[in-house]
Amino acid sequence: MIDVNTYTGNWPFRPLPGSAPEELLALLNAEGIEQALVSPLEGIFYDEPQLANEKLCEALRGIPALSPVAVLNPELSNWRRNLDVCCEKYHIRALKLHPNYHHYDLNGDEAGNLLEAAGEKDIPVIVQLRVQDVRAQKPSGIVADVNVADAIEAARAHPATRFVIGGIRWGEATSKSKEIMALSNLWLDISQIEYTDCLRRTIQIYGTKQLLFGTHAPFFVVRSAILKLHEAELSGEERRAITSGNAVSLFP
Amino acid sequence: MIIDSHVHIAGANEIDRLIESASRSEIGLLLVSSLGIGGYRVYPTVEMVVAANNSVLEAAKRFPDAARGVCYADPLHTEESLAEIDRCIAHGPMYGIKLWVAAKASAPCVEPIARKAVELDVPILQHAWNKATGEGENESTPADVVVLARKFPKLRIQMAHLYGAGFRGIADITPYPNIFADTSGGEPEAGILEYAITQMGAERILFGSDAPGRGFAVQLGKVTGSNISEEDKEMILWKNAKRVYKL
Repeated sequence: MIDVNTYTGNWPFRPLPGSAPEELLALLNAEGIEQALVSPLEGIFYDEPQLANEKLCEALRGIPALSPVAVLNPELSNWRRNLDVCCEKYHIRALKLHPNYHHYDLNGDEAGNLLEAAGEKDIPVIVQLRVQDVRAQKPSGIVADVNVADAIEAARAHPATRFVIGGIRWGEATSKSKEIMALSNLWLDISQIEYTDCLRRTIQIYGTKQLLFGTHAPFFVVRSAILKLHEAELSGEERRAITSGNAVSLFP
Repeated sequence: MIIDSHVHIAGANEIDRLIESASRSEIGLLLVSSLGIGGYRVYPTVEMVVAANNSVLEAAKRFPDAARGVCYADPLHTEESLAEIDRCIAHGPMYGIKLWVAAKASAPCVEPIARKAVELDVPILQHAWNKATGEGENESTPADVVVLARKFPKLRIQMAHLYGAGFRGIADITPYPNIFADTSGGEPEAGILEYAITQMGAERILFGSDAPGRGFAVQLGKVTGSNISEEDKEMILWKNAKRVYKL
C-alpha cells in the first residue's frame, strides 16, 4: 500500500506519535503500509519552507520507502530556484501547498506561475485543504480551511499540471463531484473523507480512478484509515487502484 | 461485543443500515437517540421531541438485540421532559437521557432532569465541545458539564465528544469521577486517547462514534489503533458502557 498523505516533524501545539521518519515508517508498516509520500510540518510554519524541505530530504536519505514532498510558498520570490533544487537535487515526488497557512490566493498570479512550473516539471501538486479541524485549533490563531472550489479552479486553469486535493471531506467531495469528475488532472486523497460507509459511497459516486489512499499520519490514527478500507469491502481491483495503482501512475 | 454508546437516527427506518454498517466493524450494540425526525432543531417543540423518541422506541423494538434507546429531553420544557422520561425510561425500555444544545448543562433548568436521572439510576449523555470558533448559544463546554457534575455527584454523566473537548476539556473533567466521556467528537487524532487515559483512567471512557455523521470504522480505529493496553481497549469498547448503562 502507498500512503499519499503523511508528515514528519513537529507540530507546535501537541506532541505527535511518530514525528521522526523512522517512527512514522514503523507506524505505517505496522498497519501494512509499505510506502508513503511525506511532507515536512515545519514547511507550514517556517518563514522559508525550503529550510524544512532540505531537512526532510536529508532525513529521508537511506529510507527509500518514504518519498519527499516539498512545501513551497509562491509568495517568496525565490520559489523557482527552490523548486529547481527540490527537483534536481532532492528528486521530490510532489509539491504540497498550504495556501491557508501561507496566506495567498491559489488562483493568484504567483501561485499560477508555480502551478505552471510544476506542470512543466511533471511534478504533481497536493493542495492541502486543512491540516487540523478548525474547531480544534487555538482561538488566538485560527487558520481557515482552503476553499475546495479554489483547488478545483486551479486544476481547471492549469490542465497540464496534475493535482491532488489533500484532506477533502465527505461534504466537499459529494457537493463538488461533478466538477471534480470533469477534470482528468485531479485526484482526491481520502484521508479525511468520513461518514457512514463513506468509502463505498465515494466509490459509488466517483469510481476508483481518482481516489488515493491517505492516512494523514501522524496526526490521525493509522488504523482508522485501514478500517475505512475494510468497511468498504473492496474488490481486489478496487483495493489495488485506491491503495497503490493510482498512486504509482500519478507519482511514478 | 463492542458497544457504541453514541449513535443517532433521524427516523426509525435509518436503524437498518446503521446496524448493518456497524456489524461490518464488529460493533454489536448501538445506544441510539434521536434529535429529530428528518433533521435536528436546536430548539425543538415538545411534539418534535416525542416524535424523535417514538422513532427510537420503534427502532429498538425491531432490533432488541442490536439497538437500545436513549431518551431525548429538552430542559426548556421541564414538565413535558419529565413526563417523556417517565414514558420512555420509567415505564419504557430506554436506558439513559440525551441532552443536546437547547440549554447548557450548567443551567438551572437542567436540574429537574438530573434529579430524575439520579432517581431512575440512569446516565445523562450530555453534548459538549470546546470550539476555537466559539460554541453555539446554549452549547455546553466541558466546564459546563463540570458544574452539573458538582451539583449532582451521584449522577452518571457521559460527556460526548472527548476529541472535541481536547486536552483542555480532559483537564476540566478529570477531577470528577461521575463524568465519563465518549470517544466521539471529530477526527481520529492520534495521542488524544492515550493522554485521556493517563489523566482520567480508561474506566471512565466509552466508545462512541456519533454515527451516522461519523463513520463506525474510522471512529473505532481511534480505540483499536491507539497505543493502549488490551485491557483498556476492552473497558472502552464494551465493559464501561455495560456498567454505566447497566446493560
